[in-house]
Amino acid sequence: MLLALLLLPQAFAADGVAVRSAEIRAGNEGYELDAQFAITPTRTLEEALQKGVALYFVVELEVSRPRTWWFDEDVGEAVRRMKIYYNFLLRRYIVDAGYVTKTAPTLDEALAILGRVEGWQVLERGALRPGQRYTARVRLRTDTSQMPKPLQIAVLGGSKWSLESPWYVWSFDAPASPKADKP
Amino acid sequence: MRRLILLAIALGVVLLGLLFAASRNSAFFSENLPSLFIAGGLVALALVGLVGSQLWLLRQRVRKGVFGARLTLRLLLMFGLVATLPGLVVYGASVFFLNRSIETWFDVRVDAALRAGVNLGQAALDDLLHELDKKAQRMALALSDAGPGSMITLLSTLREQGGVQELTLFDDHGGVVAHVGGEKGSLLPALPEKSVLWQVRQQQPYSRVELLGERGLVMRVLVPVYTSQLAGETRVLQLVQPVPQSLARDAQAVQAAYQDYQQIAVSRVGLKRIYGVALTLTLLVALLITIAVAYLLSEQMGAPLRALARGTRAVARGDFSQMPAVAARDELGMLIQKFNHMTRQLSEARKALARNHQETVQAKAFLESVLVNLSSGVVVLDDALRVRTVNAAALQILGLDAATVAERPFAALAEGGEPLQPFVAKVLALFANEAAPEWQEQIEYAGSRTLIVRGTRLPEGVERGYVLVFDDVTKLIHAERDAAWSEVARRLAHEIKNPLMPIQLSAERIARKLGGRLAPADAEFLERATQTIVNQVAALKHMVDAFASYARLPRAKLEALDLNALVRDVASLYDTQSLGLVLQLEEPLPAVAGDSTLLRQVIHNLLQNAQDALSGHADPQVVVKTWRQDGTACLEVRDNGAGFPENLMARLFEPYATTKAKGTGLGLAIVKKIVEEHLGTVHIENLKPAGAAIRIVLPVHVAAREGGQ
Repeated sequence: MLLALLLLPQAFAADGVAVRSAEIRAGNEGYELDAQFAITPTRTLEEALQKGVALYFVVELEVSRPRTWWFDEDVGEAVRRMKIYYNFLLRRYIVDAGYVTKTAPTLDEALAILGRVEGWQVLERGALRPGQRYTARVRLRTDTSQMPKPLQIAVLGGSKWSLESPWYVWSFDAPASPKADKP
Repeated sequence: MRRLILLAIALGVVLLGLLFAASRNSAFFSENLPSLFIAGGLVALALVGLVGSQLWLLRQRVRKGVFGARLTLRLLLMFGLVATLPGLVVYGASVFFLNRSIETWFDVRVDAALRAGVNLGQAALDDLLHELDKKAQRMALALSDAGPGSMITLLSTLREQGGVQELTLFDDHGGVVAHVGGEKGSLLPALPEKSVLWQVRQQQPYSRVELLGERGLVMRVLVPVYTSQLAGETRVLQLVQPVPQSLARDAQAVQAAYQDYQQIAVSRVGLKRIYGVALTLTLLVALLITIAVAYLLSEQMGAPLRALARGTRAVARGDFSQMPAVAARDELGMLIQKFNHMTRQLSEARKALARNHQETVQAKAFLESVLVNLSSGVVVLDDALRVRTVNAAALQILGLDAATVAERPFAALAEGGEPLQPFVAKVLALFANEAAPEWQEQIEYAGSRTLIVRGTRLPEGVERGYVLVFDDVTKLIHAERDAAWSEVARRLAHEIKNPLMPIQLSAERIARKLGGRLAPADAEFLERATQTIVNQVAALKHMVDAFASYARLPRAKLEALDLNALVRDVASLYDTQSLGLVLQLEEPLPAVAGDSTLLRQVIHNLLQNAQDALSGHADPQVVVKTWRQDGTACLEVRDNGAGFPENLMARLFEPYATTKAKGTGLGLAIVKKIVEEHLGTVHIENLKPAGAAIRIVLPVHVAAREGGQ
């Protein structure tokens, strides 16, 4: 019921991070997520990055199957941790997206790299029943828990240090995975 | 409450210990700090709640005025102050120095030096890169000029000449044409991204320092190579040269330091916050623990005082039970011991007092009972001659009422009745005489009454006052007088009776001797005169006998006596018919205490009286009646004669009071005397319309009374 209201894509959120698009599609090994986030860092974050302080981000995805008679069934969830920092010797921003590391000469490019999620495998093959309707939601936020503790304490209670997109919720019919039956 | 406090204290101590331990171990510190803070906050909150509830309870108790509550509060405040002041000072100093020391870490010079170090590293790398770039340009030229010889050989030569670690030549499609590497170079080329190759082919050389996995910092330079042989095809030459190790290490170290520095600089607020919170928590927990402990201590110190208060209240209520001894060896414990000692003494004193009081009461009761049963009158006056005590006998003798006497001045007794005037005046006069503390006096008042009065001034030292003891001796004097009269009467009778017989005999002899010799007229005269003499002598003799009998009345020998039998006995001597005698005797009548001879005379006298009163009466009637009444037996003789003249009624029992032509007038006097000897009473009344009744009341014999009831 609540989800019904949230079905409309929320293009721009107020603070820093907006979800441009998100989509789950069938991939080689299972289901993959493609998403685009527009990240506008606060001034504090920007300065911290320019001073070489590493920032951590996390993308969270939750997929559930709506049920009319009971709570929605959780189908699966995935978390992707990312890190961005400036290397003075290379004079480039380094984006560490977990399994791949990319560099960018400017912050905007680095953030663009950070906000682009492509082919991220989020669900096992067969996790979704084709044709069934599912609800997914995704968001990107800063992950202060990975920062050094003194900084965590400093960050505590201050919104200058946190960026967080609202949950982007959409419904989709699970695509039949053509390669599902292949070994 | 106490357990809760102890628990909170233990928790707080453990927490503070953890906090200190955590600050030493950085890993543990960073991981568990927030939870430690939260736990510390919770403990502090719990302590705040505890202390708050303690204070609230204390306030309630102070409001209710519970003894010791104020003391507890005061001790608590003192302890709190003593603990808080140094705590706050140390806290303030710690925070100040903490902030100062943290701020000193962040110095502009340090910042600048680190920044310069980083810049230096960058500059050095730039130089190296620039040099490599030049080499690359030269090599590219050399390659483009080179003939179609062995590309590998050429590259090796170039590599040797240039002192470059790795050379790779890519063709137009990004495929590797040739690759040569030094001893330290890898066998496989480090491939650039396709976009880079494409960019280089567009005449944009690429030179950059890169971080290549395990190879560390490397410089990679790509330049296009234009060969004359292969027109249109643009090859790309890649040079890879590692940054010298020492430089790379130092530059990276400087960079890492700079980054760390910046990170710490950014998070110094957090650091300050951490230390501040830790310090504040420590202070808060320590203070609260101190206050809680202070509360416990105050309670403990106040306990003996509360015990004392309880004891005091108990003593005030009259409960002298001992307080439980407090196992304190300080002054408070001693105080309680002393208090117990005092209580014991008090209790003993009180018991002694009660005993004395009881003895006094008993003595007083004894004295009072003695006074009450004393036949003498006793009056005790205080110093101001006010009546303090007066016994029943005194009231009876003086004819006063207890209520009118108590606490009034002695002189006021005279106001009540005129007859007491001389008595009071005399007593006061005698007491006024200081010279004679003891005196004895016979005082007459109210005309006929006589008192023997003894006065004593109480000795000084106890209570000043006067004691007056007096006896009514009126009756005694009367008795003495009676006895004297009896003696006189007896003697007189004796003296008168003796000459009577010769007178009578002489007269009879004169009559016998001269009777025949005289003329009849003279003889008759003689006869008459002699007869008169004889008659008068007989009368005189009778009178003297009566006197003698009155005077010689024997003492009554009291014994149990049946009054009814006696009445019947005496009545049988009279002519019942002519006297109209009727006996109304109640049966059974208890035996009276009496002398049968004397009582027989009493009855006889009464019947005689009645007979005398009825002589010549047309319808004489005499009723003798007996009955019992309240421990007494009554006897009444009533006739229907003329009764007694009213003017004689008052003096009927005096001797010689008579209404009869002949008679000694002693009859009723004897009756009264006998009855009084029997402790009885006589009462006379005239009856309407005619007649008189004499009633005698005699006490019942003691044995009979007891047996009869």
